[in-house]
Amino acid sequence: MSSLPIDIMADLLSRLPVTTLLQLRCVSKCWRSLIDSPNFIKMHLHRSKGNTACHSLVFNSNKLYSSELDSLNFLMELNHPLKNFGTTTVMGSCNGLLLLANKDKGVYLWNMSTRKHHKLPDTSAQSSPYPQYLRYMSYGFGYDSNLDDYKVVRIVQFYYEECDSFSSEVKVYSLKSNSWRTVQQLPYYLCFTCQWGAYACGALHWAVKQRRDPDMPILVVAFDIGTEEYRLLSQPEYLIEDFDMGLEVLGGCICITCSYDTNIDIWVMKDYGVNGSWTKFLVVIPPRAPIREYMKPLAYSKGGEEILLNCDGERFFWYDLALKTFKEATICGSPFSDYVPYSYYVVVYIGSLVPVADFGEIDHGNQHGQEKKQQKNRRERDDFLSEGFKLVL
Amino acid sequence: MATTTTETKMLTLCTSDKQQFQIEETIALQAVTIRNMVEDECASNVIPLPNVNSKIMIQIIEYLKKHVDSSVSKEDMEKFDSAFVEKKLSEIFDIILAANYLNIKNLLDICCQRVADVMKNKSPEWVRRTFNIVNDFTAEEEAKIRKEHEWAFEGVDED
Repeated sequence: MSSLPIDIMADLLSRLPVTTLLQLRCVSKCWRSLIDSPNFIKMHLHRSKGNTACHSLVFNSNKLYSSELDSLNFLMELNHPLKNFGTTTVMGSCNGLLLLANKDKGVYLWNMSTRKHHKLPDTSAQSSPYPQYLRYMSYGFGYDSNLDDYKVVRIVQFYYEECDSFSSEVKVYSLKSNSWRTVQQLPYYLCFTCQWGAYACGALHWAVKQRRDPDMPILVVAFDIGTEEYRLLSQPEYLIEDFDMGLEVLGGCICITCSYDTNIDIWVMKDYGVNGSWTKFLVVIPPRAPIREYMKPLAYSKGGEEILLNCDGERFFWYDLALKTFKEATICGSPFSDYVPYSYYVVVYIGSLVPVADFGEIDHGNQHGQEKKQQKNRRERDDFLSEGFKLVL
Repeated sequence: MATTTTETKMLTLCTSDKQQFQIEETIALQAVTIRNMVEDECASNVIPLPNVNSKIMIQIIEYLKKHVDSSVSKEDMEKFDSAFVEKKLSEIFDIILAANYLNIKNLLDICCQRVADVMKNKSPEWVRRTFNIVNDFTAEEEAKIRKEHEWAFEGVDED
């Protein structure tokens, strides 16, 4: 049989799932160096982004689960590195890496496809400049294409009610240097700290205000992962201003969802950063109207005719863009079938070979220590929730 | 450059085994390599294709004839493509090499996808046999690499 040239071999291999590629590393020395090479990893990632068969959803509830996007028919509990250490939160998903946080163990990057993880070094937060304060924390995670680096952004914000002022400390972690740096502080007030930075087009986005004032308009601030500067993003020309805003990402574009009493508008910024490129992409009349539901657009279907919507962190619907119809998607093997959890957070995950430095196993401790730890975990989790997840109204 | 003429312009392609194929120019020009040769006027009456044999050329012409027909619906074209790649892998490899040489992007794409679909979940041994690759790892080295992602080998197809 004819042997194929290396560039065609690379093309063939870039169409395979990560698990198969990990097996094929032992075919020969040449194949191993090809599969491990940064160029091949990028080529594979690029192809996987356009192939929904490589996409899955990660469900963040009391545990972490995943399901393939195309089929949505098999929910699998994830064997992640922080599984045995209490509540773990998924705070971001980018190019095959998940950003995980755990009160007891800290912050991790985890490649779910290669099952390799890396613990970020702990970093202290500045102490509050105010005597009495509220403290919020938010994270964001994205890719710097200029430096070919992955960056985690942490915002710690203090709010001092008596004089209505706030201060925020922002630190950026770079995977290449494996260290944190303090950058220019965020000059805006975070509207919702339960929302992680939405990553699209090389920037992380947060809903913010000039001051903590319910009557002030909500702004969208973008933190450029490359230049590490803030800028405000233009917003759509809303007809009615009274809505609940959400910042989401769909197919790589930043989206704004506006939840009204009877409908939900989803706006998408087609040309990133171009004023006036906001397009009202979808007006969804929720199947259970009139309830002010939250609809999170997640992903396009295989052929692009439908989008998957997550409704109130509970149910899923495929929305047909041409017919404007809903079809409920039930996820079999769902741990949620017996009870309805308060809510869960869903992110889209794309399988990749993107490496994270792996510094070995997590210290599992002894049995006795484990129980103590669990009690401590529960206590601290509550603190963490009241601290980091507080919704500011 | 091409002269204006009312009759259908034909091209003659000559394969590695010296077989000649007379085909309509519009069909042949889908292959970027042939188009470049015609545009650069470096082709005389007969275009030599020393990297393609007649057996493969017949199949490639079948593909090009279908794809030049704009009346075929997208759905029918997809049906044709998936039937077209239902061949032995050795034959697909030959078509891949020819499509790469002739620069026919879609054909290369569907053939690569076909091979990738077959490769999913196949063992390293199967891959070595199929692609004619010599394992240059020692037994210890191979065992070590397998150990790095041991879990990935669960559920591999038996040969």
